[in-house]
Amino acid sequence: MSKMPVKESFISYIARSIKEGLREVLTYNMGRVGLAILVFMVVMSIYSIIVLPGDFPAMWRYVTEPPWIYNPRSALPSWVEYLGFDVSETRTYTAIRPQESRVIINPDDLFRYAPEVERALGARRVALIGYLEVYRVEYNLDSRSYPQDIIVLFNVKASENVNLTNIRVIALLYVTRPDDVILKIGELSVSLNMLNYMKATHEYFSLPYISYYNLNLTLEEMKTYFNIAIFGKPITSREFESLRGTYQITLVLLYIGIDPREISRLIADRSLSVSVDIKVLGTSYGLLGTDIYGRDLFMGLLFGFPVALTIGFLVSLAIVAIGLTLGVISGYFGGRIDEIIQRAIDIIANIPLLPILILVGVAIQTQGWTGWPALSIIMIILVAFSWGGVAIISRSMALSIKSEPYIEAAKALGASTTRIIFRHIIPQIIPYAMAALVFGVPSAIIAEAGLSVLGIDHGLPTWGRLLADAQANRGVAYNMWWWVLPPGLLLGLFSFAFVALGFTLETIVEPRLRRR
Amino acid sequence: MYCMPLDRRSLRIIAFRGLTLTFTLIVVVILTAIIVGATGYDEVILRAVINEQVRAYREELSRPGSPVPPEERERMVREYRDTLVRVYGLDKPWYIRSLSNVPRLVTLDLYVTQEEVAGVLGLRRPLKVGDAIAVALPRTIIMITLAYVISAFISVPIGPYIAYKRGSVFDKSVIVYAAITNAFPVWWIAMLSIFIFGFYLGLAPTSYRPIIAQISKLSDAIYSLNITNIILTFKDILYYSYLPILVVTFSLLGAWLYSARAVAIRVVSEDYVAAARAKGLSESTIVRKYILRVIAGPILTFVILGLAGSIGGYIITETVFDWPGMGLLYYVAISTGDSPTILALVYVTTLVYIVARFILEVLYVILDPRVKL
Repeated sequence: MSKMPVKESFISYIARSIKEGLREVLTYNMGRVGLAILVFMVVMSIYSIIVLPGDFPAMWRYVTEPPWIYNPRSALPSWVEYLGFDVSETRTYTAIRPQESRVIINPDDLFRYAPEVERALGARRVALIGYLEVYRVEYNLDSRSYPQDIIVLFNVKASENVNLTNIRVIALLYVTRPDDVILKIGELSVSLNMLNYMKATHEYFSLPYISYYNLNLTLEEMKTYFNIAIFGKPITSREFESLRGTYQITLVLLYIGIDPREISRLIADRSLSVSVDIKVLGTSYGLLGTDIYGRDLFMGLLFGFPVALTIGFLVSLAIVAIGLTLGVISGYFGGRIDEIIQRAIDIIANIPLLPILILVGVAIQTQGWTGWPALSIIMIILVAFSWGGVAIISRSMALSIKSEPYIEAAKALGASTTRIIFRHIIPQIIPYAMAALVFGVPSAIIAEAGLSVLGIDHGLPTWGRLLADAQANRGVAYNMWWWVLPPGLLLGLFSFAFVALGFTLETIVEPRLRRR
Repeated sequence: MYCMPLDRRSLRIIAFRGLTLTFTLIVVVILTAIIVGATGYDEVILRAVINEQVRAYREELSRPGSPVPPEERERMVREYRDTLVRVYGLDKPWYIRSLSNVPRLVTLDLYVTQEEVAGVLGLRRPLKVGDAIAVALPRTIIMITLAYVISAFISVPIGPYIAYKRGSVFDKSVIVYAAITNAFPVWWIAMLSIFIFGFYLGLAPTSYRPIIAQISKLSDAIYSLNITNIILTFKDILYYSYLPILVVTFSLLGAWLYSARAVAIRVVSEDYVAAARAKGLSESTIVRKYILRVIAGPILTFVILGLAGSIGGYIITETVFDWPGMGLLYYVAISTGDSPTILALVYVTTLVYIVARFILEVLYVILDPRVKL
């Protein structure tokens, strides 16, 4: 580290030290690895802030709300397919176009354009007229595992002059299986303003299905295992095997209630638009799969990046700032103030942090505080009990620098106390403080993770929180490696990066540690 | 191990450390009282205590054959409740109340309020928090002590060996191993090991709850001196506990090996080791007499001081493994909102930590007479 030239401001000295330090860090392998991980973390944090919605923590909390209920549960990451895992894929068909859309005046036309209505197992012929839309998508199943569900999401938009309550929609959902059996898996009849989503159910095909395949199953069993019935073929009267091949999913929408030609006109001039998404929920999903509630674990992990960096740096910075200040004061001034600070350090160094943190965490929980305020209080406690180490080092350095001849000389030249501290003492401690700062970054996020796993819920989806959820559902979650592995790996990677950087910085500022 | 008689100076040092630690304990208790009082948290606790007592009183009054007429009961119960509110100081501001509650905390004169908390220890309510901790604490200590003994037996003899082979592949892998166990929390390694050894390989249990029943079975067997039962339940307990102990050992061993290596490296380059070698002593004698003896003390203090700081890691690990010790007690108390238990646990954990620190300070002074204030 270079000496501080006489005419340079304190701030620019620090900036220059950081720049030079960085250059030197890059000459060490450990430093390069640490810095690369740090850059990765920063990039992911920025990506996270851009991609995730502002109310993500609340969204994450409500496990029984969209979008999570539209995801498969306990789904593996989708890339495991390439590792030889046997999973069925999750496919979303977004804003699909209707294959047929026409006015039906003659009831027979319905069966001509949507033959599934008539051909489904156990179908009865019903006479219906209205405005017809038929959506068809294909899903290919090539796995022993059964997709979990089929979900249709509607997004209805209308200009103000259209009265949606007057228009009713009959929505019929069918699956044409590879063995050409057609199952009716859903029916909905609501006014258009209530049209939201529909999911597959056993109700419309259970009885004909049981008699068609001659099965020995109760309706209750059919209700629970409806997805196996849809995507499987019976091999005995009770056992199934997945039916591989191409499935056609057909959604029939029949708009009734007002003149079908009127609806046709509204749709043609875009006063009314109904957008349809069809989702087949497989057993794999996205980059990192889902938890037992269907929450996208990749999104949860993504949120953890900026939180880890922010609280890590803030806590460490506060610890170093307080430790440095009190240490220098203690060492430079000595006397009574030194004695007080030393005894305070003795006490806080002997207080076990975790029990205090638990107590504070529980008190916060009893008060009903969640989110950032709750996390800030935990951080403040962490800082309040952790500055001792930095203070001890700063004090001993300040003590030895104080007795150097050039300090005497500066004093003799009339330098003020502030000048001596800021010009001569602190600049020499800064490199060590930097190393301590870097070493201290992971402690906050590790402490937070531990508290979360112990059941203290601050309400933010941090990496620790994801592991805490796994802990709360340990019977199943510990079998889901995609739930337990990534948050822990990130925690470890995060600590490793800062330990590597810290070691490098220490080697740079303390040449005696250099090998050879 | 070399041991110096305690002179006056050493005694003074020990007395001073003891004083500091006692003062620390007082600070923690006061701090706890403030946190608990200022957040209105103690009100929750005291209301629970009062409700419990009022319920018992009401039951007693309405027992068949009670001399108190039914119309009198409600009034008496109300009066009893008012008396309790005054006795517990719920009618006074928190800072006065907190002070008067400190003795109750210090003597652990609190009751477990949730059935589930007593349940994890295999006990039932009514249960004093002190008794619950008396059951849980030894179990925690047993688990960690076992892991400690295993780590010590592995790392102390290996330390000098690594120091000799400095820079070798073995040396480097020890460093990497220490770095890994340092970076990843123990409790996460525990979660992972349940997946790998429990679910994936099927070598260990996937659920650890039954260990609670097994431990009470063992104490029954010991009580009735039934040797076959003791051996049988011990076997079952071993089945449930070998993975927790292995995991804790795995993560402890990193720190142990690393510090054994660091201390040994310093010692092997000392002049007296070179002199011993020049005398023609065999390597094994040098290691045994000149190196192991010197490094045992420092490694012990080094690692135990580290443990004292990281005992929290084991509290969380216990939670993961459902090991019915302090950690699980913490977890269940927090998740069921059993405030008296949480308070008492915080107090006892601090106390244990401080006592451990004190014992270490004493050991440190005895082992190394150069220790200065």
